[in-house]
Amino acid sequence: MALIFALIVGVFSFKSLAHPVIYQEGWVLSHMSMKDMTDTNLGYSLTHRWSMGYQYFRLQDAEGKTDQFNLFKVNHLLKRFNAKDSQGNIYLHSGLGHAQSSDFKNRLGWMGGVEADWETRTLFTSLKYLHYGSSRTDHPVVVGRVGFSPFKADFNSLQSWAMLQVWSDPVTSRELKVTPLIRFFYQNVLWEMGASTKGDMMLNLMVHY
Amino acid sequence: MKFLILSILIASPVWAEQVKVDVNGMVCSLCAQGIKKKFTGLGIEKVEVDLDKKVVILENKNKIELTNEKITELIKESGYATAAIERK
Repeated sequence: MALIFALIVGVFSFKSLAHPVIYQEGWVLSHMSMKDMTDTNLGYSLTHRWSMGYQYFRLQDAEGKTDQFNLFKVNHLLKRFNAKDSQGNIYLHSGLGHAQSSDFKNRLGWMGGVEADWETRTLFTSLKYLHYGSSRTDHPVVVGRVGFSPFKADFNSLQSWAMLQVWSDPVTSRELKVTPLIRFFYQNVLWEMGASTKGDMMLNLMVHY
Repeated sequence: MKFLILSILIASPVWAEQVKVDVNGMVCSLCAQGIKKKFTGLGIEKVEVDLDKKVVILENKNKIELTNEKITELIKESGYATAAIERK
């Protein structure tokens, strides 16, 4: 029982690579966690171009000081490139809500950003810039990913990917965080597991429904 | 008796319309779940997604009104682009 609980807590304490917008009337629940970051999202796509939802985002620096955000999010698919064997996307992120730092004072929090990705059935690349802010703090976050899948899985089969994530948040840490990870998805569930080059675990879970 | 036989034939899957839709951008099975959700939500009994051939096969046994415009609209709402529609 304790093991099951630990696994559930583990899975739900890593940061998620949430798709900003999915198919019309689709829901996305995602959670991603790394040692010093937690990101939880619940989103609903009003159309295949617009989604709204909630995000909890928490960052912690090496001294243990935290910044956390509870945001109402609106995301937009700015452009999609549907080709026969590939898809590319450009998304815009925005959010407004509550921010709290280690001084426990409540502030107005916000975020904005842009994200681009391109993928085939065996190759994946993405790059995003997100900026979280309040009157006390600013967190520019840049995340890049490249990945490949060793085989083309069928629609209802388990799909597996090997990926490399590079994470930069210069306010929290001056060092780039490089994390090799494996991604699986099966039907409407995606999960990822990885460990940074410094040994910090990264876990991610995402469900579409 | 004739009415009974005719009713059975009409209800038979043999009479089900099959629609083949070529879809661009369909590279991710996780994201393509939306296509299945859209068409089954419409009442289409069988929706097969073939990522190798980039096609969606719809078996319309329930005689749902399924115009090319409706198919294109649902594929678009799923986030993809319709390249061609073929009926059998």
